[in-house]
Amino acid sequence: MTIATTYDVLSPYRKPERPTLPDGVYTRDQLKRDTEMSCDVVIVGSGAGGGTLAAELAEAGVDVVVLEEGSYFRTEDFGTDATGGARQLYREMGTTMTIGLPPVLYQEGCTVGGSTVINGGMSWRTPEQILHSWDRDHHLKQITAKDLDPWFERVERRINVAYQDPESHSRDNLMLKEGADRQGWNIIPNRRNQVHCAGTNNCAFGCPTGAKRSVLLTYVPRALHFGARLLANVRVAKIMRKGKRAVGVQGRVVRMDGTAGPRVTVHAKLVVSSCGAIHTPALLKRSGFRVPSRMIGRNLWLHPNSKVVAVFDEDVRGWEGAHQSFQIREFDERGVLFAAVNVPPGIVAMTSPAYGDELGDMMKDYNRMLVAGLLVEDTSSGRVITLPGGKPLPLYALSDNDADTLQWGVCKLCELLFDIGARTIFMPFEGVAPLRSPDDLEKLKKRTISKSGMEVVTVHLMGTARMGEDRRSSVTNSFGFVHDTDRLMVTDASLFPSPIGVNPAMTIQTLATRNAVHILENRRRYLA
Amino acid sequence: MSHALTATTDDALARRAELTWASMMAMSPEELEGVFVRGVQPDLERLVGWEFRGTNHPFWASALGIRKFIKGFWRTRDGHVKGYNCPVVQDGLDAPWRARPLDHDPKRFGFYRVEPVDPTARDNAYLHAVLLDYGRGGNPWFDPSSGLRDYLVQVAPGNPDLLLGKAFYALGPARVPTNFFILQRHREGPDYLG
Repeated sequence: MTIATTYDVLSPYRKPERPTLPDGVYTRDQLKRDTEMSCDVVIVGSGAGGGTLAAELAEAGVDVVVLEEGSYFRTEDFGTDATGGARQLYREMGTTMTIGLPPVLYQEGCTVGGSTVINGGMSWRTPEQILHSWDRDHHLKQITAKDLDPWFERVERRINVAYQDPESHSRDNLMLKEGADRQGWNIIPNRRNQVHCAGTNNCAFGCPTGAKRSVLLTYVPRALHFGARLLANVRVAKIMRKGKRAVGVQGRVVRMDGTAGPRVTVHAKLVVSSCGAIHTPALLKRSGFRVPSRMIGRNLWLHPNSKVVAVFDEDVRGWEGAHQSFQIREFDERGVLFAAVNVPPGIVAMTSPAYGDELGDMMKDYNRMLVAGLLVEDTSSGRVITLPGGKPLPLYALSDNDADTLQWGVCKLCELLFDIGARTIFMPFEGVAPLRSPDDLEKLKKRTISKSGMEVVTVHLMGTARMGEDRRSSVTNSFGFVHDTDRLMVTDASLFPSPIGVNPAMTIQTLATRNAVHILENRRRYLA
Repeated sequence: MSHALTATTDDALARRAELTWASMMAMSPEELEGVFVRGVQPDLERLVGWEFRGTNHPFWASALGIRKFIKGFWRTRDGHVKGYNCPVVQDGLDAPWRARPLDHDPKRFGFYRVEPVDPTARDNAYLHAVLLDYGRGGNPWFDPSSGLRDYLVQVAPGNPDLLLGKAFYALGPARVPTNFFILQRHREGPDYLG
């Protein structure tokens, strides 16, 4: 059964204040004075990496403190107000951009649970060929599919990875499947971290039913249960160090208006940065850490995404069902993946190259829209630099090869959409009129689209503190410990030595689990 | 994109396994720095009780009469690992290392304490190395060797017989890099020197 929801049925977004918090959670409401504390392990970030690591360590009796810049929310706080959701759950309301051609709009979660609160819940194991290349090219320890198998299983159990109930498939996803079947393309059902997801299609703004098993609902409560402390609304300024040993962190409480509040100092035996591929390198750099490879912040990959908006004659009502039920994997060899990704009207409008009357006319057809996206496994990389003051600035230029792949992928997607009856397809290319027939598509194929006119977005940021056993070409060792430093660890997507071609959350969580076990097996070395 | 870097990594690792005294002597200081950074921490137990024939890498070491030397390691009664230097007859790199004044009863000088590098200490330039700290070797205060700080790594994980060192000289809080040196396992030395 599909539970149909519309954007005016669910309650509007609520404020984060609440009378009670779970034991162990502290927010700006409690942190009204300067705070100083000690622990075994302090983790900066509570997302896929930090939250998972915190739970695994806390369960083993380690005294853990987690610092999170964003706020703490509960399931009942989540609603369908996309703007409110973006303001509360996304870093800078989701308006962060890379510098380069084309500018890439990227989004990161900034809330307890991190990006797992706002992702689509896709839970794919790292492809075997990627792990093989990490093993072969970067000589990582315990990284083969066989090595990681128990950790994958453990994470999948914790976050309830399963196929979607058929009743929750949305019409846009079923149409995409129909199109892929007609083309003879390989399309597979998504594995998602969910329990009987009802298909409210609100994944990107916090699951209002709790069906999506984000870190907020799985690892964070587990960590708290085993005694971890979680300080929300704390922005970490720097990692304290004594020589080359990390000995704690310093930060400030983030007030409601975004200004810096009281100081928070946490002394720890082990410091872990899990604040994502943009902020981890910035934190390391502004704390004065250097590595022999000088690669902190280098090798930024981001799986460039683009989308097309197809309008049909009949209603699609893509919001009635799960966010993404299928992925087209026909073009894995080329590093391209397709999916139907319904997004709220405000976001469609915001990310559309149309404006004025054209945009107004386009949005009148929202009910008949099918939004389909593609992800490209990038072959070039950018980097994250830090501005004076320590703020990160990602630089990224789409390579010619990836731009060609993106244009090619968009055209393939349009072929499918016309085949299943699309009337008009709005393109993610500036200056390209909406396609109204396969003939228009053929003309488009003959054009070369300028990179500056491509609309590219991403939610997969990876690689800026990559693992490797060679200190001259990597930032951390196989288990995330930063080279030429002591007791400083990274556990997030920064660690990836290459893009992985699939949604990264499962890989991050699996590496965090494996790295937690490594810490526990070497307690005397890291926690003495 | 990453393929070029990958190739570099692979080549570097493959080369590391094939490194020899001769190949390292032919390298530039920049190349030796790469080898040094990729090295692994030597096992102190594999050093204790052994002497290593040492070669200072830079050409000017010949002019100073310190191209060839011998380093030895022993464990003190309180469990610390210490080491010493022996002067060697400077008769060319092709000739055997013969300690002076007598090969079986050499002069020992330039003592140092050997410990894994302490990340929190002043001398923490290479955490994957062991530090040969002449300042804690018990040398007389006026002995110029007291200012030496050597870092030592094992060049390849599977070969404890070939080591690469990087020497610094301490001038107050400053550390001035002076040269690389190479150690090869030479012969058994005294287990204990007091």
